[in-house]
Amino acid sequence: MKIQVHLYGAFRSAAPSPSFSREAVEGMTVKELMESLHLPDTVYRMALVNDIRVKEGTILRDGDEVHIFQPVGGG
Amino acid sequence: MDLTYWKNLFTEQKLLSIEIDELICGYSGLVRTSAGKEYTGIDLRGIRRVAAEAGISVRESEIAALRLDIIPVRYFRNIASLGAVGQARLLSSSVSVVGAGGLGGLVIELLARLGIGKITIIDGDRFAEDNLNRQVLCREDDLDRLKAEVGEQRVRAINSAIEVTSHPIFLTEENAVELLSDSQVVVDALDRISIRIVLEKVIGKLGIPMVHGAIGGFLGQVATIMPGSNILSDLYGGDAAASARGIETVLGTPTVTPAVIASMEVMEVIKFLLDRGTPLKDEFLYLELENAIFSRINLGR
Repeated sequence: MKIQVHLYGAFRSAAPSPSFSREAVEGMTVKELMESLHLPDTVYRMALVNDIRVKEGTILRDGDEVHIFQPVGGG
Repeated sequence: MDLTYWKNLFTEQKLLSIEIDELICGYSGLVRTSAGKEYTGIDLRGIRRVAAEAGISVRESEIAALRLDIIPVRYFRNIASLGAVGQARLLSSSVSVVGAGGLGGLVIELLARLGIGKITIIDGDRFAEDNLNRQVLCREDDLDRLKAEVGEQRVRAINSAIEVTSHPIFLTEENAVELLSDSQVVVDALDRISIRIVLEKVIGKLGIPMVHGAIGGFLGQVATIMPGSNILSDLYGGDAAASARGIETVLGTPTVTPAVIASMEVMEVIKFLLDRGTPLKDEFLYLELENAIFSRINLGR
């Protein structure tokens, strides 16, 4: 299946381009996608699938658009 | 001049008085700007005279003047964008700022210059040396002083029309409702995540929005979060690994970023209080300053 991925902030450098489409195995979860991009889980990270806030266990489907960013917390 | 609007704008019937109008007219005059513009204005001295003679506050004098389309000179540069009615509305509004540090200090400065009528400052912290890179309320002479107190002093020095209250204590789940009950909107100028989640819960109880802002390195985010939202608890609580921390622990909090985010937060306050523009309702503006990339991330669902 094919998905669209958009990376923000420091995550942009996790892939050759910050916006790209890629093949994914059926049943791939958001967490597995993040791991495949080597995104660290030691900092807060948030995924939206088709503009909906999702938990990392969410299973991706063909045609999904995923936005991944790092919410910040300082002031 | 729509009197009904003005009667609704402020419940202070005492401001709708011929005597006050006459005083204001007496102390106002034609002002000529360096750009060659002319307007009927009243200066600080005039406003103070009106207040003293009418037995009303400086803030009330300014609202009364604006009702007559007479512009207190200090707000003249706001008027083309806000209008006299808009300025009067801001002077009748009440905003709380939680945090008087990097974000908060700038927010406080801007709200004071903007002319927000009532400002409440909440922060239990004291200035420390590593605040100097970004906290505008902190001069070298202010080290170890209470941030909220310095903030109150700064507001009084910038704009004596504003009714400012400071609480040099930390916001908690127990004290939040009482501290914020008088406000129409609360600005998040916090520096840690846990209390932001508490604030999100509290605004649900109070039925008021919060303007959220946060920074980390040259990254920042801003949004207006509506009461009843779970956005922040999802972002930081939901899936986060127990060891997860904000990226600011890695990237620090450099000078520039708070200024950008604080300004955007105050802009959200303006949009909300004056019901204009496109507020970032449950929507993040995510700013990557180094590459000048600004992204809208819809978090509403």
